[in-house]
Amino acid sequence: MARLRDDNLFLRRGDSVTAGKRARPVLLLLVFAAAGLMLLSRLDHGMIGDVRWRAQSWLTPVLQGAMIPAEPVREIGRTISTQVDLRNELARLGQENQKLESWKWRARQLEAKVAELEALAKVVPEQKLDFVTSRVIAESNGAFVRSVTIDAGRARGVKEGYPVINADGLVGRIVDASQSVARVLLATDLNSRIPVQIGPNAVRGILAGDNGPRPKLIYIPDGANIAIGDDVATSGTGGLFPAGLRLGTVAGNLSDPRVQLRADLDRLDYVSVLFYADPFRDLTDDLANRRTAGEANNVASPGLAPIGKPK
Amino acid sequence: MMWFRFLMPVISVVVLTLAAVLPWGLAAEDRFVLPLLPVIAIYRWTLDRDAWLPEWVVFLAGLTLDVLTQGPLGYWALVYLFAYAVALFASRVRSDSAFGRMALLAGAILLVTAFAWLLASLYFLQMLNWAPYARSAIVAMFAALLVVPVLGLIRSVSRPPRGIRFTRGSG
Repeated sequence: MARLRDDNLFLRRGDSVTAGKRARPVLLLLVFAAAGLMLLSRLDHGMIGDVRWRAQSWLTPVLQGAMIPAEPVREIGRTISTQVDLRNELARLGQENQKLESWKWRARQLEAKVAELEALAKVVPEQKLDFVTSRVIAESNGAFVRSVTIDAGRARGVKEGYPVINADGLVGRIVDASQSVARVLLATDLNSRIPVQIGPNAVRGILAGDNGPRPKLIYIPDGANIAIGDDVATSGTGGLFPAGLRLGTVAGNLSDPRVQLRADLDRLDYVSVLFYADPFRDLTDDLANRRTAGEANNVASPGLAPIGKPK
Repeated sequence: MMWFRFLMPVISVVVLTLAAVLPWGLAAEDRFVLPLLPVIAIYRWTLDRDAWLPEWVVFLAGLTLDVLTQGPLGYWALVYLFAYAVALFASRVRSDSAFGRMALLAGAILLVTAFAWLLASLYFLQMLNWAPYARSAIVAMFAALLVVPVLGLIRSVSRPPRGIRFTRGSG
């Protein structure tokens, strides 16, 4: 009878029709819980980050499963956008090809000259970087963060701090890595800071993300000679990124210079993680290990004389 | 299959929540429309007195989105609970025409988006650019024209059959 009355099918005289559901006390409780969690996040409580990352690792198989039906839809979208841009893209590629043809000859000449000079100067050959290519399985481009999640983690050798690139240039770096997934902080994120060199004069500066599409250039020396359209690449300062990874070109105006990134960070499908460990960290770790080993030797065998010392 | 019918509102909210984090190739400023799609589902199912969509499911959907988007925990949970509260309020407003109901939904989307913007601004302690939010609200209103009929279709398919039917003169 109560159900029928609820359905307004069976009303008695004096009953009033009350449409809709009523708010329950649990709603208020959940609002307080959500507000509390948000406050803890604002205070940057360590527990929150840990719990969040663990939860994301658990949810990864669900995301990977969700990608399967989503992939055809993405493909259709990609095809439409390619068809729309095809005419402009062909014209652009034609112009670029003409430029590159003239550069190709010049580059070969320079390459030969550099190899010759390097041989003369006995330059140490550049370190060859290994990499792993992975698929982007989730994006988070809200008001708070610009990052993507990739389906390669520690099991594939991915570690925190490794640079991430795609065919167009630097994308960002790994900030969290679990066994099967890793999170890439994009170059546009508010917390991203990348040491860069700008233009032919290799002016040093920092590329700082601000959650906008074009990150800004900061800490450029006063009177530095830079121009709109100058190439921007990583400088290698600080050892976080290897030198020479291209990022984009200087854009905007010179009073507030920004960088138009080459990589389209909104349409990332596959990215490569470079296995580039910070050489300074390796050096300090090595020294620390040697010191620890030395102390251990001294503690373990105080009676033994140091190696090489005559008894 | 009864349980499937029963869980349809929850499933639709979960599917739209997961879809909000998948990489669709949208520009960063335009992605904000995706988390507004579960808002449409929450509103639609909360208005439906036969549908089972408890508050804790709404909370968990928001929390899942917070985890997957790496945003502050509780942000989307709070926004979705607000959407739920708005829907509860809207369920008390009588509207007989389809246009009136759509206008109510558009108003709810606008209100929830404004709340999301306000909450994000409060989090950063600075007024954020409102333009991407406004744009997303408008896109979400148009998306509602597609999502609401689909949810209506799901409802008509998953609605449990009533055993008793009263007709004139049956009593």
